Amino acid sequence: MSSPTRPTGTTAPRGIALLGVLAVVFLTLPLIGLASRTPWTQLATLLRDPVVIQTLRLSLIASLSALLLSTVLGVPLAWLLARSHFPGRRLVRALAVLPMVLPPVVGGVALLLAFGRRGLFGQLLFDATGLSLPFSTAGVIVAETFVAMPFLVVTVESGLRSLDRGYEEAAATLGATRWTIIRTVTLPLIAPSLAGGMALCWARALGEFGATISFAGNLPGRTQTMPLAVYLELESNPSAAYLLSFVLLAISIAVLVGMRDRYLGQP
Amino acid sequence: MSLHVDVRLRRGGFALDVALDAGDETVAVVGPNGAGKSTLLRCISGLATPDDGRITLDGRVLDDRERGIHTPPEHRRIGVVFQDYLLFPHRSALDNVAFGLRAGGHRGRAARRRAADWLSRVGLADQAALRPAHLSGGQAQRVALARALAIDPDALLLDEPLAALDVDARQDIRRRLRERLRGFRGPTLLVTHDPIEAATLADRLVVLERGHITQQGTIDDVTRRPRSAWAAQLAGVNLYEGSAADGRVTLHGGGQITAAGVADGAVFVAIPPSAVALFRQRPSGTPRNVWAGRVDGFDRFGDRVRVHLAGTPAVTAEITPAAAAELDLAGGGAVHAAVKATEVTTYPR
Repeated sequence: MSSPTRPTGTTAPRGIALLGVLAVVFLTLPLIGLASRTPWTQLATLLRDPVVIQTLRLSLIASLSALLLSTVLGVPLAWLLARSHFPGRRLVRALAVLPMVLPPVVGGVALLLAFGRRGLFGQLLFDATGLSLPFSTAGVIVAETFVAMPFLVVTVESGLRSLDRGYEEAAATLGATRWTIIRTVTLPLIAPSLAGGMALCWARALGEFGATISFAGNLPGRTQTMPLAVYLELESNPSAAYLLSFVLLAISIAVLVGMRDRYLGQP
Repeated sequence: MSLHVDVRLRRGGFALDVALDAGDETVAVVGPNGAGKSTLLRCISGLATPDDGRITLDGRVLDDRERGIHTPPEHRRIGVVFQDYLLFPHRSALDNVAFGLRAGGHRGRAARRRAADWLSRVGLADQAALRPAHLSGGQAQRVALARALAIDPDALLLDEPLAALDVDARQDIRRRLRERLRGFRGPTLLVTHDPIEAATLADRLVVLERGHITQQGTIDDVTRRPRSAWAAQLAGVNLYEGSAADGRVTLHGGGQITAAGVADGAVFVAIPPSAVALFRQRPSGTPRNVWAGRVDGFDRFGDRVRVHLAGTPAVTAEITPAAAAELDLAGGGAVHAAVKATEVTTYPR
């Protein structure tokens, strides 16, 4: 039966369907595995463990600080990339998104060479203020910002690009200054992109491992975030690692649900 | 109040070069697509900066490129109704109208009160809380007009204010828009490509083609004495250019026309289609212009038939359906066009 009005996509070639199902199985089996081995009964005890609380708190403080820093710096960068024409703009964009494809460990090493006590700028910073970023909570924030900010920049830039400039022009003819326009027209209109970018950025910062461990180390209470703790506990106390992993998974799912219009909605 | 515009602007291959004045009147800027109508409005509103020239409004210098003056849009006090209205989608109708008042320094409550007042003036008191997505096209246009007028502008610009509306809704909305525009004291510039819109809403026409003004004047002037092919089409008349000598005009495109009382020199020749009579046999007698042609096509025009004749010159005639039937237009063959010398309008180029 072949009707010309049949919507495309109702039936798929068998080969494609098979491979697609395989992909879904591959992506969900680990989650099922994690959920099946998570020692639920210990959840309450574990969440009361002062070390876990400390790690969780550090993770939240660092990732939220990274999110704040990424937003404060990333939104203006996205604006520049989307709206202004300056020489080397393509190069700047490439550099801005490089951390997305760079192995995080390499990012951490690079951060060390730039902001380490002997680093390019780290030395200046240390001589001037006595501050040293590596092996400090500030270092964790820097590492997470480095890795996560590009997600926000890319999302907000595409939001700005798809925004009709006419709204801002209309606001200008009504007497609004540039700052008023950005505050009352541009930002509210790109709010979905901004929220999406912030969610992605925060999730990436929360899960950051490679750059953090190579730049900030693994000091409990100062630089040991949840992913680092998971990795460490996997050796000594696997069931704690499973539980912490599950907590991170739950947070990721919460982010995804919060952004359902963007990633779970209809095409 | 008066608006003086004298600007030049180049963008790629396009060049705008316009000088126009407007007092307390509505001026329709008409012309084909891509003529630069919207670009002209953008220059006046300050959204585009002319390369060269001056714009003054009521004595205030808004642009003077020679002195490096460019007043940004937010300081011009020029209300703009954009083509798709561009109402802020995240704000209610009331907050859209209040936007300019707030930007102008009115406090929240005062701004909202005045905005509500403006909304009721355009008959939308009940729609104040609605977002633009829930307004009809006509309502959105009224909100856009109220928003532009609420800032108490010194001039008003409207870019195709009816283009986004259904054809059915236009007539009524056009009539009400005219009343509202009459209520505004100040120069009003209206961009349109619809001759009916121009005729209903404007006191005067400015014809803009390829970045240049080809004609300006009252609607009567432009329709009776068009000075470009586009204006002739707008007015629905046959227009030719030629050189007149001894009462005869030799047309640049070929052919000759005898006109009553034509002065020697370069002239335009305008012939209304209703003045063109068609015959199968060559008519005789009377001081007439008669030439042969071939039927190139015909279409209904109201209760008339418009016949396009290929010949030297080509001409469009407007005849009754009965006459068309008698002529057997579909039959092909030669047809003779005849025009009385007294029905030919000529004017210097």
